[in-house]
Amino acid sequence: MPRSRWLGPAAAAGVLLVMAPFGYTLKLGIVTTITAALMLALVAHGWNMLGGFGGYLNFGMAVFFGVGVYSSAILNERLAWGMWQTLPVAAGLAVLTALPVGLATLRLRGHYFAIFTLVITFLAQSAALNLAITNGASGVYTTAPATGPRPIAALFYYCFLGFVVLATGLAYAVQHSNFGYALRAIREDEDAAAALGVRTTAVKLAALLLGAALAGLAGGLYAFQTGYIEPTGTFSLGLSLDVVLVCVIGGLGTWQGPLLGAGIVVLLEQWLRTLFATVHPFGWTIPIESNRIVLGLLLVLFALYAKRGVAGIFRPARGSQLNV
Amino acid sequence: MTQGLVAAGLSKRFGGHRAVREASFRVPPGTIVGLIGPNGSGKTTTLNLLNGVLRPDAGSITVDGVELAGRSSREFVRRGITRTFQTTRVFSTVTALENLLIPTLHTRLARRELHRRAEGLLEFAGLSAHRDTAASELSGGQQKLLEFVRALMTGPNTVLMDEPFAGVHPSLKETMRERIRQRNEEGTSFVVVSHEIPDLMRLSDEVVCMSDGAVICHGSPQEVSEDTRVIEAYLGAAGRAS
Repeated sequence: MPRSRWLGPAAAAGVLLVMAPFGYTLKLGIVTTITAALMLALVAHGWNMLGGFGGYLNFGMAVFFGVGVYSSAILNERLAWGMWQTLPVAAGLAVLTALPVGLATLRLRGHYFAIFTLVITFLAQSAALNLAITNGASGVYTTAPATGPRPIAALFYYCFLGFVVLATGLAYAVQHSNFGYALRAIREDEDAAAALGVRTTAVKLAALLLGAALAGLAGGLYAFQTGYIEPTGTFSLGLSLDVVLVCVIGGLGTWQGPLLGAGIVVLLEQWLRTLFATVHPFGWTIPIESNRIVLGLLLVLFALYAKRGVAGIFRPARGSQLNV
Repeated sequence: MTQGLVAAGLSKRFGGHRAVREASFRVPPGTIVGLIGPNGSGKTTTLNLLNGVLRPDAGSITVDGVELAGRSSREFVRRGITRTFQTTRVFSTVTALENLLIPTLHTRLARRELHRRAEGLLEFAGLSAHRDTAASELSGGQQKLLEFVRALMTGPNTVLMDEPFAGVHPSLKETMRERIRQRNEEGTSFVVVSHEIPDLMRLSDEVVCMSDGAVICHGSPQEVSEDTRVIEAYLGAAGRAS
C-alpha cells in the first residue's frame, strides 16, 4: 500500500484532535456554524456514495434527509421517543424511501435518474404539506434532548462530529474497496463494467441506499437540533443543490471532498451574508439570497476548470477527469 | 452433455440490418478458435452475443450444456466466459491492480486471495512495476495486456478477445501471443477476433470465418485458408499466399 495513502487520514485525525474541544471552547455562534458545516458534510457524504463515486447525479438528497427529519420529529412528538431511539428509524425509513426510487430508476442511465430525483423532491414536499401525520404546513415540534444554549450546541456539535467521522471512515473504506472500484468503473464506462460481470444496478442501488441512510441520520439529528420542522424548509431543493456544490468543490468521488467542500461552502455563505449586509454599492441593498448566485458561479467555475475539486490539489491526477 | 461453448443458430438484427444470421460453431475446451471475416461481417456482434452484452433474437448459447442465451453478462462470467474489447476499455482513473479487482466484486474469495491472484497476473503480464499506476498512464500495448489479464481474474474457462493485436508494438504483440498460448496450455479456451491473419492462423487450433453475418467456413487453419468461399469473401490473394 502506498505510504501517501496514510497521509490524508493522518491529517484528518490531526484536524479531529484540534476540533475535539471546540464544543465547549468556541463562541456559541461559531459552534453552530461548524455544526451546520458538519451536517452538510454528513449529507454530502451520503450524496458522494452514488453521485461522486458512481457518477449518478442525484437531486433528491433533501427527500431522504426530510424523511429522516419527519421520522424523528413525529416519533418524538407522538410517542415521546428520545433522540437516540429515533435515529435508527430515521435512517431506516430514508433507506426504505430510497429503495423504490432506486429500483425504478437505476436500471436507466444518467439523466433519467437525475430528473426523477428532482421530481420526487417536489412530490415529497407536497405530501408533507398535505398529509395529516406530518401536520401539514403547521409542522412538528420536537423536544430538545438538553437544556441551555451551550449544552444543546455542544451536544449537536459532538453528535454531528461523531457521525461525520463514521461517515468519513465509511467513505474511505468504500474508496479503497472492490465496491468502490466497481462504482468508479460504472462512472467511467458502465457498459464495460457490466460486460465484465459487475451487477451494475445492484452496485448503484447499494450506493444509493448507503447514501440515503446517512442523509436520514443527518435529518434525524437535525429535527432535534432545530426544534421545529415544516415541509418547505425540510424538503428544500436548496439542500439537494448544496450537497452537489459541496462535493464538486471538495472533490467528487473522494473521501475528503465532502469535508473540504462543506467547510468552504458554509464559511463562504457566512462571509457573503455579512458582506451583503454591510456593503451598499451606489446606495443599493444587496439581498442576502444573492449568495446563491455567487455559489452557483463557483459551481460552474469548478465544473469547468477544477473538475477534481479542492481534494484534487492534494492528489496526483489520474486519468480522465471526473464528471457527473 | 455438450462440453465447451456452443453457439447454435444465433441471429441478431439491428433494425433492418441482420448483423448475425444463424451462426453456429463450437469452442471445445482447451482450444483457440480464431474468428475472422471482413469488416461488418458480424464478428464483434457475435462476441457480444457470446458474452451476454447483446441478447440474441434467435438461437442458443450453451456453456457445458447450460443454456445462457438472453442471460446477463454476469451469468456468462459466472459460467466462465470473460472478454476483452475491440477498443481497449481499461478504467483509466483506477490503478492497474484496482482494474483487476473490479470483475471480482461478486466473488466469494477473500481480499488477500484476490490481491495475491491480481499480483500474480500482473507479473504474468509483465506489469508488476505498474501495480499502483493509473491505467491511463500505461502505454496502449500495456493497456491491452492489462485488459487481457483482467479477463483472467475470475478464472474463466473461455476468454473472448476482440482484436488483441490491433495497434500493438510487435514485441508486445509477441508477448500477448505467448501469454495466450501459455494460458491455453493450462486449459483456458480462447475465441480470438483478429485481422492479423498470419498470426491468427499460427495461433489458432480452429478458425471460423464469417461473412455478411453468417458462418461460411469452420475448420482447421489450413482448411479455412484454402476454402474458396473464404478466399473470395475475405482473404483474397494475400490470404492464399500466407
